[in-house]
Formats: sequence, C-alpha cells, structure tokens
Amino acid sequence: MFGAEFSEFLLFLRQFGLALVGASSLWGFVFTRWTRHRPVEKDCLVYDWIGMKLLLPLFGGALIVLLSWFFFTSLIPAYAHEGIALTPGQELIRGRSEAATPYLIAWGAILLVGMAWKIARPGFFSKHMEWFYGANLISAFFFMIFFVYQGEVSKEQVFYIGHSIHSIFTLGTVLMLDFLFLISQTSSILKQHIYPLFSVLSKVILIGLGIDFLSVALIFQEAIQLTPKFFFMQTVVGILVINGMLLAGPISRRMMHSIRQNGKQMPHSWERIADISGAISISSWGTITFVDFFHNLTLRYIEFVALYFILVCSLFVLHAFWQRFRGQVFLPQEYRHEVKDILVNPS
Amino acid sequence: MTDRKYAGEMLLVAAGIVLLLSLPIIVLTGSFFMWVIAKAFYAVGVALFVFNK
Repeated sequence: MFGAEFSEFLLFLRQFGLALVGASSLWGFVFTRWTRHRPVEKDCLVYDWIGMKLLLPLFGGALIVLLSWFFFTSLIPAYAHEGIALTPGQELIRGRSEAATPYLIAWGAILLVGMAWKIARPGFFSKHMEWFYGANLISAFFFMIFFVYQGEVSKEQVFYIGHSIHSIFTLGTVLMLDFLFLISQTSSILKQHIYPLFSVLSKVILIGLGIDFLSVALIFQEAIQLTPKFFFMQTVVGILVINGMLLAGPISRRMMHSIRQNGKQMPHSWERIADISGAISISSWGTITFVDFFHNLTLRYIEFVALYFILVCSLFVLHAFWQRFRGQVFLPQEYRHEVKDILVNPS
Repeated sequence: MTDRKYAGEMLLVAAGIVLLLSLPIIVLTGSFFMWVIAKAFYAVGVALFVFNK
C-alpha cells in the first residue's frame, strides 16, 4: 500500500523498540545513579520510584524488538520462496538479523533474569537496578550498531551508525519526556521533581538531532534525492525544531513557575498550548522515524502533510481523553510514609 | 534565564524557520544555500542552549 513493504514496517518497529529500550535504560540509569549519590536526602525516593516506573517502557520496547526480529527473520525467507528477488541491501539486512540471533537470546536471558530478580527479591533488585539499566543500555547501543554494521570502516558506515543510535537521544528521549510528564500530572511532588528534568532531556534531544545532521552530512552528496518524501521530512524537521524550542523555552518556564507556586495549575490557555505542542512533538518524531524506513513510498507531498496533520490531531484528542479519565498516581506503600514526611517537613 | 540560553532559543527558532523557507527555494532554484544556513543556525543555537550557566 502506497509503496510500503511489510518488511520495512518490521524494521521500523525494531528501531522504535530499540529507541525505547535505549532511552528508558539511559534515563533509568541516570535517575537510579542519582539516587545512590544522594542517599541521605528524601528526594531520592522520588527518583527511585521514577527509576522503577521506567521498567515499563524498557520491557515494552524489548518485547517490540524481539517480536519484530522474530517476524522479520521468519517472513523474509518466504519472500525469496515466492520468487521475489532480494536486493543486495535487503540481503545484508536479513543477514545481520539472522547473525544477531545468539546475541538477542543472551539479551533476552538478561531481561528474564532481571524480571525474576524483581519478583523474587525486589529489595535487592531495587538496590542494584542501575546495573540492570546499564546492561540494557549497552545492549541497545550494541544492537543498533550490529544491525547496520557492514564490515568496513567508511563514511557510509559512520552515517548508518549515527543515523541509528541517534534515535535513543531523539525519539526515545521524547517518549521518555512524554512518559514522565504523564506520570507526574496527578501529584505535585512528582511535578516538583520531574519538571526540572525536562531541561536536561531537551538538551539531549537537541544534541541527538545534531548527531543525525552530522551523520547525514557525510553522505549528503551521494544520497540526496529531491522527492516528496525528502521535502516532507525536512518540513517536519523544521516544525519539530520550532516546536521543540517552544516546549523547552516558554512552556517549560511556565511549568516551572507553576510548581514554584506550590503546584498551582498553569493557566488553561498555557495548558492547551502545552497539549498541542506535546502532540506535535511526539507525532513529528514518530513520523520522521517511521517514514525514514520506507524507501519507495508513492505518496505526494500534500498527502504526506495531510496524514501528518491527522496524526497530530488524533494524538491531541487521545491526550485530551487521557487527561479527562486518568486515575490517581499510586505510590508503593513503602514510599507513602516518607513522601508524606516530605510534605509535613519540607525542609 | 541567561542571555546565552535565550540567544540559543532564538537561533534555534530561526533555524527551524529558515529550514522551512529553504524548501521552496530548493524547489525553484535547486540551491541548498539557505538549507545549509539553517543547519549552521542549528549548530550555534544548540551550543548556546546546551552550554550555558
């Protein structure tokens, strides 16, 4: 449909999953290490709780990676049996996917051991959670490089590696930022701890996009094609840079102002602007990552733009429903007493 | 907020605007000059935005 192949969709899912695993591991490691360096402060309990919450996107991303790899390695041989010739690029991609099998099994074992530890010995797991996140972060980087490695050192190879790993710092970190924003909404204490982190995450996202710009510059002359897809991607990049500054600048400052006023809600107009900006952010990053994996799309520029606009509106409406029907945040029992103590004795 | 961070924000917004404006220029003339200028704005803007006290 529209020149899209199912195999390309599976490759996108694999990249999406790895970005999710990488970003949740990166920020899970940062927050849990932060906790260890501040053992006497009660604030660290909130970062510890955030660290535990990030296990959800980590395991979700891992499931996406493993399922997409399984379907890709299972289905692609079927194409060959039907007499459809594989291009050299597809053969390489398929070869790398099959070669990754033992490493994916090892990674799956790490995930299962981690899950078992969390269930059987939650206290031990909580104390050493940063090592679990560190192992998964290394795994995510390894697979992102492994899947695109062509066996030679060249500027094309540097492009593929940069273009692959930047997803951890861009799409993955955007997803983490949205995740942290959503889990903070029903608790002023969480807002007070999470909102100041948005500045750091925004900087990482900007650097990640810079990594992609630099890697593209290496192969620009050979790879540039003035297609509707190119112009659409550049349009979305321009929008997300402007929108990103809106989020990291005025909206972020407004959010910080609201928590300095003891969790007072932002004015309704600013909330609406933040909701729209958030929808544009996640849909833009998802769109450019998604479209990047489809090489023969037959859509015209206006069709690309129309679908993108529909996606932004849909995410905005979805978020509005979420805001309306969200429940209360449930902190684990062992945290509630300390958090209550923070409220009573804010010093 | 520091002046450097504010300058970084302005440059990054300018980068996005110049990038969008460069697209019809590319279509009409085939010139990537403005597109490259947008990337340069982005690089400087990120440096100012990220590295500030």
